[in-house]
Order: sequence, then C-alpha cells, then structure tokens
Amino acid sequence: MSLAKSPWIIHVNVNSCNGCDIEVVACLTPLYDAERFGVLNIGTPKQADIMVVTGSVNYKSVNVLKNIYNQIPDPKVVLAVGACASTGGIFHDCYNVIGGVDQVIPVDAYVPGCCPRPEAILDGVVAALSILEEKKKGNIKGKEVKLKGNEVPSNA
Amino acid sequence: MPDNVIQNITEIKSMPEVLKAVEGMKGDGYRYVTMICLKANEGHELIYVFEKDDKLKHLRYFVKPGEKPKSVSGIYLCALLIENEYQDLFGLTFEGLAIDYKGHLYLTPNSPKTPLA
Amino acid sequence: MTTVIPFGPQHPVLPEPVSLKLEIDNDVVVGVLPSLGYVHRGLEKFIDTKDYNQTMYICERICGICSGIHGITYSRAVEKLFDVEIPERAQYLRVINSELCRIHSHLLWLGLFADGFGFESLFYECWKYREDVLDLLERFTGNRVIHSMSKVGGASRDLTKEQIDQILKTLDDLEPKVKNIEKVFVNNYTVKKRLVGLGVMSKQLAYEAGTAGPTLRGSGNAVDVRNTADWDIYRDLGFKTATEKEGDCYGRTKVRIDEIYESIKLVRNAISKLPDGEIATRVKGFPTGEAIMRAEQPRGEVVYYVKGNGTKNLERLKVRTPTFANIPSLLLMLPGVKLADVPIVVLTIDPCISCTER
Ligand code: SF4
Repeated sequence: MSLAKSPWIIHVNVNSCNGCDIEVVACLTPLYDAERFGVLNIGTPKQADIMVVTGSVNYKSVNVLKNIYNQIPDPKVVLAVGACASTGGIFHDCYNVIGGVDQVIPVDAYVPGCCPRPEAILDGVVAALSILEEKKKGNIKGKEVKLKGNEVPSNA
Repeated sequence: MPDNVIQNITEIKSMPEVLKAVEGMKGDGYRYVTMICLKANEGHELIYVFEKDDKLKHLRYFVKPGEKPKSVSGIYLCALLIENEYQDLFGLTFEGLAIDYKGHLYLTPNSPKTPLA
Repeated sequence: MTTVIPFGPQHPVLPEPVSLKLEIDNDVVVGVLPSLGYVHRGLEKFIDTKDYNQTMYICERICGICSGIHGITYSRAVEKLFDVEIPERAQYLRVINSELCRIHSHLLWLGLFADGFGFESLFYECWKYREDVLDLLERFTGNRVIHSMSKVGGASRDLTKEQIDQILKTLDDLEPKVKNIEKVFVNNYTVKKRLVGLGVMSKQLAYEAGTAGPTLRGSGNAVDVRNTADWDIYRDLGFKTATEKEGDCYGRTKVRIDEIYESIKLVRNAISKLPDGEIATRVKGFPTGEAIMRAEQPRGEVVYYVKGNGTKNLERLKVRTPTFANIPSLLLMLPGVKLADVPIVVLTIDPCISCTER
C-alpha cells in the first residue's frame, strides 16, 4: 500500500509563539480537515512519518528536537512551518535563539508566512507526501543526529 | 500629576524593611502581582507591585552592586518564579528562595549568561 | 517510596513544551517541580534594537493566541508615556478586537480541554465555531491570528458598514452554537465525572497564590481588570464579572463559558455605541518616564511596564503574563491529584508557555 495515502504526523513545537501551532491544529479540525488526505495527528514519534515543526530552535529545546527526530522511523519527512521554523523569523536576532530548524536537523519542505494560513500548511503537507513517497522508493534514510552533550541541566 | 510616573510608590532603604513591608502587605490582604527589575547606577532597582481592590501599590528598593537581596517567596510563594527569572537574566542572587533553579530557569549552560545585565 | 515521572516537554495533550517533574506515590502526586525554558527567546532584550513602534509587532508575537490584546496593551502603555488621548473610535475598535480575541481564545481552550479529557467530537465542535470568529477577525484586521490592528496612537484599520453587519450577524449565529456546547460542558455526565471536585483551590488560597483570570475567578474572587485599570470604556459598556464558587476544574470551565457570552454582549454594545471620527492621532517625539499598564487577557491579567529614556528605543519593557502568575498555583493544586488527572488540571489554568517565558 502507498504510504502517502495515510501519513501520520507529529507536531513538535520548539520555540514558537503559538500562532503557528494553533494554525497547525486548525488544519486538523473540521473546516480544513487534513484527515481527508488520510493525515492523522499522533502523539508519539515512534509511529509518525511526517514531523511538523513550528518555531525557531533555542538552547534548551534543541535536544528535545533532536531526540524526537531520531525516534521517527524511516522514511521520514520534516516540514518546517512558519517564518520562525524556516529561518528564525522575527526572533532570529534574539540571544537565546539558535536559528531555523534546519540548523539542527535536515528539513525537506518549508512553509513561509507569519503565521502561514492553514491552506498553505496543507499545501506543505501535500508537498511532503510526494517527498515521503520518493524517500520510500529510493530507500533514503534520515541521518542520526547527535546530541550535544549535557545541554539540558537537571534543574535545582 | 503627569501620567508618565508611577503613582503610589514607597521607597524603602534596607532589605529587612522590605521584608517587613511585604509582610504588612500580605496582612492587609494585598495580592502579589509582580516585581520589576531595572539596571540603575551600577546596581539594580526592584519595584514590587501589589494589588488590592483594583488599586496598585508599589515598593521601590535599590540593590547595591554585589548585594544579595532576600527572597520574599517565604511570604508570597508565587514570588519564586519572578525571582528565579531575575537570577537568570540579571545575575542577581536572591537568598532564601523556596525553589532555587540556580540561574537555570530559562537558560542552559550553553546559552548566553545574564543577558540583560 | 516515591517515583519521579517527567511530564512533558513533548506530551500529546500539551500544545506547548513545558515540563513538570511529578513525584508520584502510589499513583498520587505528592510533589511538583516545573521546568521552563523551552520557549524562552529573550524578547525583553530584543527591544533594544527596535524602536517603540516596531516593538508593538514584537509584543504581538509574545503569544499568538492573545496577540491582539498584547499589542493593544503595549500601545496603551506607550500612549501613557506620551500622555496622549487617542480618538474615541479607536478605543472602541480596540475593545471590539479584544473581545473577539477573547471569544476565539476561550473556544480554542474549550476545544483543547475537551480533547484533554478524551471528548474528541466536542473538540471538533468548538474549533468549528471558532473558525467563524477567525473569519470575522480576518475581515476586520487582515489576518487570522496575528492582527496588528493597534498601533501607538490609535488603530491601524477601520471597520466598514458591511463588516459591522457581518460581525453582528455572525455573533447572532454564534450564540446558540455556544449554548449547544455549554449544555455538554455543564450537564454531560462523563464531563462532570471528570471535572467536578478536581484540582480545588479555595478562595483564600487562589488569592494568596497571586493567580489571575479565570483561575482566580473560578474560586470566587471577582477580580477582573476590565472593570478598572483606567480604561473607562468597559465601564460604560456595562459588563458583568463571571465568577464561580467551586474553585475546581468544573468552575473554571463555567467561568470561561460565561465570559464568551459577556464578550458577545460587549462587542454588540461597542458596535451600537461606535462613534464616528478619526481612528488615530499622530504621536510625535520619543517616550520618557515610566508607566504600568494592565489589561485583562483571556487567561488573566497582563501587566506591562515600560520605561523610556528620550530615545527611539525603550529602555526597559517588562511583561508579566497571566500564565506566569498561574503556574505557581499548579504547585498547590497538583499534590493529591491522581496521575491520570494531571493533564486536565494543567490544562485548566489555560497554560500559555510562550507568554510565560517570552
Ligand atoms: S512564524 Fe510568526 S506566528 Fe509562527 S511562531 Fe514565528 S512569530 Fe509566531
């Protein structure tokens, strides 16, 4: 069966202002209804095919992002939603921001906008589907991303 | 009175008096709103904000360079988050915090240190 | 013997990353340690490089859900520094924008909350109705989520006659729909079973813990900044503070549902009184002095502190957001709660982490 007919997505918020997140969730609700493409939002990375990332990466969330990426089975596609996830967006100059998601993990498709409209996000998901299919055919595997030591301290 | 000054503000000279004043606030039934920290003449300026019946009341205190202010989280527990935040951002040290994140509430060892200081 | 169980940062019911270390004894929580910082960007420093007009757009991006009210409150704070009076029409436009934001935010929360206790069709229903409000906001401001309707000195967009008719019509349609979901939230057996008596905070405790918004009002404290906070318009429009006595998750849910009705009324009143005239005044010069401005967000009271030093950049901006005030209340509510109920209690303060950490 074709994988692209029923992709499961995991939504990861790393450092976003929530604007993109609520639009991603809005995609799954009745008006935009991503489920008609077979898309299902799933909480666990182990069962996901597409990783939807919102927000720029900061020093604390970088390991969370890498961890989740490493846990997704191959083939996997990463979709960066919003200006923040693509380049760092309006926050690119802030002291605690590393930059866009592609500084940390490989990204396959970008959705521009601050925040992008649900139609644009759906378009991105559909674009991700064909990439997913190609990756499956070519048996392309995502690289394991290394964690950078003890970045997250144990608090208090 | 012009609009752009804070009204209802009391200036306090020493840390024990701040603690006493804050305790008095709690006794009078004030709600702890927040604390504001600014840089001022090498040291820092703290403005404690309280609210009762929709009226704000402020306490102002100057922290001398190198001084360690006392935490009020023993009186108002909710003060602990904001005090921890200033430990991160301004590099202040509050003594007697209910939960002490030791400057790692927001920041990790890799991120910039005391960015607002 | 206690076990420590980490809750988050990536968790199915949490839309945002926050992590709680839960100390569990026999399935019951005995201790909580919140760990923040996953969304900390450093916006209070970032304003150094932006002038006071641009800072409005930064403030809107503190949080995408209540972005409209963040922008409005920032503008009002800076107007206080300049000591300018803005045109009355702009004030009313701001009220309309704020209240539409509140409706959409509460519907959003009700949906996420329903999802949190596993009532998926209710979640979809709430979000379906929310789209109507978003359509209005899009017509009004040009964007669904980040509105940028307010600017220092007034409003940047006006309402036309057709838009006003559209708003009134949509609100008329919305009211019975909200009644529909209210029935489920208030009367449904399974919902009540999950919510009643869970995460109780007494009136006194909620007040002393410095909580804000529906978390405070759900415990019977009638504190609503809209009533005062030197913004006279709300008093003219007539509005009732919603409170509930229970202090549990059920009470906080009811407060939010009541507030949707109040907001609908407020928008109608504001439209009926909407004066004609200019929508913005020109603000000249650079800000000086310091000011504190408060406003009621969907999640509670937000406090803006601004300090100008006579240059185009502000010297200091400090934002105390509602969730920042509400997180300590988790330390009080969670102990004694079963592990399976933790997500619900966490959701009932309507956590907005990107606000908290900025
Ligand atoms: S792109 Fe815009 S809306 Fe999206 S997270 Fe960034 S600031 Fe928020």
